[in-house]
Amino acid sequence: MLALTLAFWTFVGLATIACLFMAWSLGANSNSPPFAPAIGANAVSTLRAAFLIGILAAAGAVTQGGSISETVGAELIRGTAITPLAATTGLLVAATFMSFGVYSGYPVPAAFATTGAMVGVGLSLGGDPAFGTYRRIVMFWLLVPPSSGGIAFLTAKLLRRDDIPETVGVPVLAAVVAGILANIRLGVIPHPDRSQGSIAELVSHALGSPTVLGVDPSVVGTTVVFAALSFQFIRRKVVASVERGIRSFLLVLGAIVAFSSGGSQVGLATGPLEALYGTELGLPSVVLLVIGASGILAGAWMGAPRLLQATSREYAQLGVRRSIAALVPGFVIAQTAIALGIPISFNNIIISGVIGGGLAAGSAGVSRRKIGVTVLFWVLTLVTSIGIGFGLYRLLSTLLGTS
Amino acid sequence: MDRSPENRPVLVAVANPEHAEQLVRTASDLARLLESYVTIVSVAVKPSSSPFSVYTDETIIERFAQDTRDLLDAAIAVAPEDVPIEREIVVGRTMADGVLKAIRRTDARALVIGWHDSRSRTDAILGTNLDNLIENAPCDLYVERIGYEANGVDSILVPVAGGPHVRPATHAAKAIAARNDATVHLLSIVEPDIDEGAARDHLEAGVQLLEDSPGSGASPDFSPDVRVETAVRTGDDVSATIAELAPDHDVLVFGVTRQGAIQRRLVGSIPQRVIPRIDETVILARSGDVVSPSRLDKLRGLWRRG
Repeated sequence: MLALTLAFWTFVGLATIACLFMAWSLGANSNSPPFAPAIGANAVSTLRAAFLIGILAAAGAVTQGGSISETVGAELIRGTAITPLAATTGLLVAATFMSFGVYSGYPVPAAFATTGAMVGVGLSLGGDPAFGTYRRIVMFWLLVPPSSGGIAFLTAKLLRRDDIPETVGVPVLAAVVAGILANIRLGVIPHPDRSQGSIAELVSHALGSPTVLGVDPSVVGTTVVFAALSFQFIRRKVVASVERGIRSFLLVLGAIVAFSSGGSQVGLATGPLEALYGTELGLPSVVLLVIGASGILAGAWMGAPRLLQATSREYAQLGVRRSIAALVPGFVIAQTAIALGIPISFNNIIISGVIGGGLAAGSAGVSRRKIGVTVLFWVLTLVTSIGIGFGLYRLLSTLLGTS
Repeated sequence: MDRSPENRPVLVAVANPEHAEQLVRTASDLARLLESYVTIVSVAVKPSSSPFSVYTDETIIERFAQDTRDLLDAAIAVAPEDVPIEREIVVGRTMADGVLKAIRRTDARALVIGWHDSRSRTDAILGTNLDNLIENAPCDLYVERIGYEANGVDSILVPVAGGPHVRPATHAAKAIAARNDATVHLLSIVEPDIDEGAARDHLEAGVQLLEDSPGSGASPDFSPDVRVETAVRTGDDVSATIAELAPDHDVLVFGVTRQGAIQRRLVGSIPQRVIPRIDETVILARSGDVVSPSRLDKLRGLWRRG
């Protein structure tokens, strides 16, 4: 009994360390894009940006991370709960893939590695594949590049059009972003049916308004008010000075994207531990999210400055308008994924966004071969992480006699 | 620029304008000796996590590598005038990746690269990029410690103990001696009670290599007569003995040594122990003969091409 307890706590310890490492590398590697354009445009300094990214991503992780974490932890496999050994194994596999990516320089998306590893260990545990979830996830993944590229393309077109002055184009974008912002789900806002509610829903509840033709007028009203206010706010700035106005928008947008990236990425580190922390230890889910968030915070503070320095100049050469075009889909798609609880790789969205924004400028200059290799590595990551997760769990459970 | 096509360049990789002058000077010394030219290479680093990594190399160089271009301009501005200089920008996922690409593209004969001995927090011996290059660069490699530069060189110390790396070490020593009219001191150290015969053989082989090395009468324009002195020293601790003698010289050229634990495989235990104890200019020389392209490298080629 004592040995069993000892083994259990060893796994809790190991799994938590693996989770922290995973969160750390997510914070260090995939959270920098949001502010790189703002640094490139001299709207903020590198160190201040890294500081803000850490805080914002951690805040996003705690308030929005729950839905994706739940999917990764409970909805990838049917008929069995993830055991401590399985959780540790899954995280270990995912973390190894991440380290390989950092060490070798090959594109290894965390979303694919974690999802694959958890499916692998789950099947190895004797669980049944959750085909419905896989279909939703794969569908979403396939839609990410065209929609991210498409949104970026449209945004870039809007900002480049000569017949639409900046004093209209930029505030319109700000209005769209704010409208979505009113409807994103946050863990801190209560909701009668879900664990997360949005600001618009909160207003609707407070007013107790009925739905008209399936539409809640106060949700729509709140959305419109949000949109109108930020339109006005940004418009005033852009009218005063176009460049300064765009820079402030870039900064605000960066902050929102950093927040969204934290919310969409933390689940990849915490998801495998959902069953361990929730069921076995009986802790509220926010505990796990706070652990993940602190990992992301540490990672962002330690790793982001270097990465920001490396990419900010490129965004500067890309120009403010195309930088905005690359960020807008980052926000929109990350929030959609959070709403649907689908694990995503933030980097994929940004890459597609940069390509889409580039196409709007005429020549893309994108290398088909490099995109091909990138996609190949995405697929390889997914397939091999399933296989390794499956095999490693089988091996460990046999060795430790816990099968 | 007149050079025969079979001439292969001496590559020098620059990443910091402040260090460029020291490295370009060493590369030029070598190029003069080898009757070759210098190619200054700078890497536009685009890790695969960067969204910009999906652009073609041409697009990256054209649009997203302003820093790299500025760096090359600065490096060329401090280059000596008597050696032909070319420039090259390569795109790589890492520094080492880009430099390896440049070596292949130019079929480089040698590579000179700087090493800043900050107290690094990683496990890497000289830093991951340098470790990677020491392991994989398929040409002679010279790693020069940044910042410890002699003010005028009178004497160059080359500890020898046989092995493939003595040849590139003697090249560097001769190249630097030729420009400065300095003396090359070959040194072999034997433990007490051990026959000095082997040490004498090492020294003789070293002298032979110095005499045979390029620039020895092959070209009438440049045939340096370098003074060579040899010495055998007895000592228990090789590293301590070298560190003791180092202050009498201005430059130390080490061949990397391969013995010792895995962790010391790349650089060798002796240079690793000596370098932190001395303030002289240090150049680590590694022969290109010991590198054969690995299977992983061929796989990596998939990513690099184009």
